[in-house]
Amino acid sequence: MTISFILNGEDVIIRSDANVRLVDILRVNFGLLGTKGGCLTGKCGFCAVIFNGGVSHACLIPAFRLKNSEVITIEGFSQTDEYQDIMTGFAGAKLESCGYCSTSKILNAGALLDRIKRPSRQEILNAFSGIKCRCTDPEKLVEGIERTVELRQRRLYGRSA
Amino acid sequence: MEAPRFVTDIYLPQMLYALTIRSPVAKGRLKSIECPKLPGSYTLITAEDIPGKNTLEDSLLPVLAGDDLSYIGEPVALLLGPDKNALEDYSRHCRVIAEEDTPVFFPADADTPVRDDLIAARRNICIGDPETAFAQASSVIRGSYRSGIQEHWYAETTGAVAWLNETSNSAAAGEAAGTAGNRLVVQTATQWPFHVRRSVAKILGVTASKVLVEPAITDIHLDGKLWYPSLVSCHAALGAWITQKPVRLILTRKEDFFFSPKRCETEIIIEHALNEKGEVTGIAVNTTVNLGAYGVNANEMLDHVNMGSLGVYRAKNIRLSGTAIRTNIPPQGPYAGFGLAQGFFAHECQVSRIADTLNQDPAQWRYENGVKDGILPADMPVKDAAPMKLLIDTVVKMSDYRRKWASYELLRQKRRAHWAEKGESLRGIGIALGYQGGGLLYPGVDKGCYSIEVVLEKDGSLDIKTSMANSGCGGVWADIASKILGVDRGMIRINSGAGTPDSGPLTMSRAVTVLTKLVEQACQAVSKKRFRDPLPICVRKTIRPQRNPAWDQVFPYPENVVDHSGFVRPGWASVIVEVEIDPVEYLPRIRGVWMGVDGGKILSEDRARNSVRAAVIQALGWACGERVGYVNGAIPGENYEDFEIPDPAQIPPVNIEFIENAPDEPKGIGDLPFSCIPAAYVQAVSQAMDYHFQSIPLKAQDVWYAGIRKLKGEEPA
Repeated sequence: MTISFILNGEDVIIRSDANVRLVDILRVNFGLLGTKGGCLTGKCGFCAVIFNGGVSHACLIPAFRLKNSEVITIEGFSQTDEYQDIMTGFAGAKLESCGYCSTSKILNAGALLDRIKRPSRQEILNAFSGIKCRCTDPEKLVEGIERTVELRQRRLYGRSA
Repeated sequence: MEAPRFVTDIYLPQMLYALTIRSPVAKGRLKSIECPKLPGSYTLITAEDIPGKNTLEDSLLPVLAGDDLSYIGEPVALLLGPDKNALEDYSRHCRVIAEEDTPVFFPADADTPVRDDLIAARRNICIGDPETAFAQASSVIRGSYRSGIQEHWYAETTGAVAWLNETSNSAAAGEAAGTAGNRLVVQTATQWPFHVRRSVAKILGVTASKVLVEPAITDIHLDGKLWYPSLVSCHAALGAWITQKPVRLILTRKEDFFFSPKRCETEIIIEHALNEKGEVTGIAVNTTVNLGAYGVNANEMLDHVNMGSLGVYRAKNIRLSGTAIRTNIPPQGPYAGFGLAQGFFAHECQVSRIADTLNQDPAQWRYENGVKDGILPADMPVKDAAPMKLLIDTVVKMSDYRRKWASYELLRQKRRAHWAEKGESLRGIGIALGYQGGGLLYPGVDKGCYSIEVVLEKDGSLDIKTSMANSGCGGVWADIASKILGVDRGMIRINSGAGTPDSGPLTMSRAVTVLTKLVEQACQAVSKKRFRDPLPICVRKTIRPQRNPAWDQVFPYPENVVDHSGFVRPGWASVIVEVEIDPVEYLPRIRGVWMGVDGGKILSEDRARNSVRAAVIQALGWACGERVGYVNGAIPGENYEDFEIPDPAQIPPVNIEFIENAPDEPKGIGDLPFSCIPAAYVQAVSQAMDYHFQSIPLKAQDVWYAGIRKLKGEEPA
């Protein structure tokens, strides 16, 4: 089938079987390798993308669901100011990541801060519960998000919240 | 050289995908493989197609099973083709026909003798006069401790991509592949690139120089990528060799979960003979290690388990009987700490039980009985005196242990009269100690001569060549080199391309303890030659295995390949864990973890702290959360569906303090939490519940059943 959708702000058209997973389309058709494959059952959380405004598992989205949708991958998100805030915040906290789950951590951080301007410790930890990666250090994660909050506030309002 | 990448990110032109066809039986004989008729671009490869020897390096493990099948999921064939979806369809229609035999799983009772043909390694060690000690004992305390399997759950599943870097005319003309100009390149995430290289060369029947291994990024591997990537690399390499096309084989998450090696299951029985004063006069230890099919790394694993089982307390009369057995579950492997962690779990639980029997504070018992003067149990000498008292003092102070233990003990005594009536939270606190070596004992065919090379180039830049460039220590090495040679940090490269020497396996903190020292020595040697010799100046430094005769009574392995050098300077740790248990639902919650670490010279405190904290979290997962088991040789599907690693939202505060003990050299610390956390946790829950738990994982439902047994008035096991 022929499917058109918006990928990282651009209109794209692909030909694909209806049941091919978005994670494979992104990696094979478009060479967008920032979205990692994992369990293919939504269990590990490594294949996060922003799908129609919310963070979703690309392994669970079949090609036919893409019609007229909007998909933002980490490659697209990395062009935003929000991404820079997160990267600077994480680096400031010396948050070490294995690299494989980085995409999911960054996109989930972005989604969390879009939803809650100043999340509590528990809200931060709950937001990352779906990423099953052994590299997650809760203390550094909380510190990284708190630093990101400060950076974002300063960028948007010229002051800390 | 290109920057390292994940294996899963490698896509090459003309690339074929590969899938593994696996054994459906735990033990049997392979009769045939039924496969639908394949189009010309698809290929089925079996053991008969292997041009070289069909075993992994230093192992009896076949790359593809021949006639004999030894576990469910054992690779029997490879299916290759250009379309991944079509390949999956074909593989679903492949059938492995086998004649089933009676498999053997873990012995039901460790006291039952094991059949000789199942023994992969055995130790019988007698030091002093344990018979007399037990015959004259005033009392004997016996415990049987079982530690469960732990899944590595690394982020990227095991995989490899292999290709011929030059399709020479001779190969195209049908001559034997592997002739002039035809070199096989393998990219895989491995802790030991040279093991991959030698294994691939062995199955292809070519010299190792015909194989180039480019290490991909290894994430948090926890020793799960020590030898298993060699097996998958052999599969990809075999496919590329036979089809002459690039081949990509990446296991699915389910395949990896069900068939990859895990932390092996152990059962350890420990008996302590005590005299009338309550002093330990003898120890008898019986260890059984289930290594699954083929008994990979049997000597290494068993000796680590045995070392841990001897604990860190003074002992004169020791009887140790250890057995590593082969069974019909997938080959089991090391997990961070090799087998030391399982051994320490058993010994530390037993020690707490002794203290409990003697009505002593477990910390005080450890304080009074710990090894000292640089001698481990069984008179194994180490370089520095064990900092037992300093470690205990550190965590006792950090956690306010004495006050907490005394009050929880008082409450425990009071509850004995009316267990069911009180509604207050149940609390307990536990302590444990352990150490970590910095190397392997049995280095294999290379005899443990691991090297690094430093080259000061004509343009003033510096290359540090090591097969372990992805160790995460590159920054530290660059700092050291920059300081010694005055080379700008931006001009220092850490290389692992062609021509780099074998730096050994990346395990047990070797990058920090062994390779860092070699880098330092090589840079100092370059410095001496610098204004004397013309550029480029190249210096190679090698570490060679060393034996210590005093250790041979514990490691009586006859061949001269035992290396004790990694253990004569162990890192040490003490841990305290405090728990609270809901009195209605019996749900345990960890209130805090305190850890004292003797890491010698700490090269980077941030990295050291992160490394230890990450290990604490995974050790908690092993102790109280993760449960994986084999039923009739296979992991039940619900184990996969329900599998959880520690949830960030549930992780307690972790407090770490580094102590200064002989801080002139770095020591291994990354595996220490696995040796200490489980026993401290079990002891804490045991105090809270007034019930001696003896196995991990110790989950909420185990505590719940213990609570119910107590309500019924049943005594602890």
